[in-house]
Amino acid sequence: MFLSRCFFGLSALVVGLGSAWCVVRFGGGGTIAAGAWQSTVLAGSIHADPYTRARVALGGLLALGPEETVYYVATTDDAGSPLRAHCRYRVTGPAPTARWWSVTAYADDRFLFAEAEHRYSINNATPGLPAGQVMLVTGPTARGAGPWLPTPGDSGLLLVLRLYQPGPEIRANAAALVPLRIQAAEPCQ
Amino acid sequence: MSPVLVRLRNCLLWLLLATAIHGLAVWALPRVVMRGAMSRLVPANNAVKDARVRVFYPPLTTATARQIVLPSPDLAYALCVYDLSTGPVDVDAALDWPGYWSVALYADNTDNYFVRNDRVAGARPVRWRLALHEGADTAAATSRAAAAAGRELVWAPSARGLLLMRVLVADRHREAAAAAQAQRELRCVAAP
Repeated sequence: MFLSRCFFGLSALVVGLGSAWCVVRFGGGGTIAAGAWQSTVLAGSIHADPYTRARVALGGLLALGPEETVYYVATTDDAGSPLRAHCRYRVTGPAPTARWWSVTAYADDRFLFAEAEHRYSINNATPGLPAGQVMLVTGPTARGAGPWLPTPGDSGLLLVLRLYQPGPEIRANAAALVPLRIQAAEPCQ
Repeated sequence: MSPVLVRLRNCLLWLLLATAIHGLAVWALPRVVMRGAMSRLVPANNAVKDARVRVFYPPLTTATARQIVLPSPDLAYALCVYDLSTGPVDVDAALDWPGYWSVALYADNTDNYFVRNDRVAGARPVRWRLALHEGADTAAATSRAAAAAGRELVWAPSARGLLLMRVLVADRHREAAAAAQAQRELRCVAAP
């Protein structure tokens, strides 16, 4: 009888906690996609549902609400292949409508790459960008023309696009972003 | 009760228990993460140490910053961790900064419940009194005290929370010193 009750409680605990973890960690509710970029629409918002809140707590704590900032995360290129730090990618497209935009590279632990020159992001103040365009290359070493975003090492790679004070269309619907293209600049294993 | 009904009842009880645990875990997770962040973000040698408020001015983000995931390298941060259970907290920030800045308030469940940016603030400095809404009588007295002190009253949805000031640093090599000065414009103290 005692063992049966223990099994009853423990199995409910495992299933309850496990299902919560799976939904929060792998569930895609509340996110929208624009090309390879994904955005959790209500990140930071007081209107967020409990699952979005839990997801943001794990993946992007202290986010600002969408009126102030919209965040997009890319973990794959446009072809759907997972981004890798040792590969080289070209990120191109029209500059998003926002007071300030930036593209930052993170390792798959969601922290910045160790980079001696502190080149962590490309933003609308970066010299060398064509007017009204985003054009950058990521990779472990600088090669070719255009701003370079260093991604040393052999880990996975996340690109985060931040739009501070985005235009009204994006504020109303994050999927309205004209997505920046992420393409492999050369074959990579 | 027949064995079939007993089994059915037990199945329902098990399902209810698992669902309750699931819901509790999802509800608790942001609060646990936020509590951890509030303890972790402000080191023991923070600039102001008080029962109600702790203030910290971290250096510009580099690869060594590993307290919070996805830190922005384009921003200089200043933060206050507050506890309003023993009384309100006064916040002051008078920034003269050419670009974007904002002061955002977070509840203990991670909600960003209030934010003010440079465009909305204009030339007016941030002069807030953060307080908990504890009944109509106390709230009226708190409102009067805030008005007498010339402060905008902000009701916090939870006793514990965090204030985060962001200052956009377009060129970290040229603007680091100015950004450090701007960070120090944020002050959080226990209200009298």
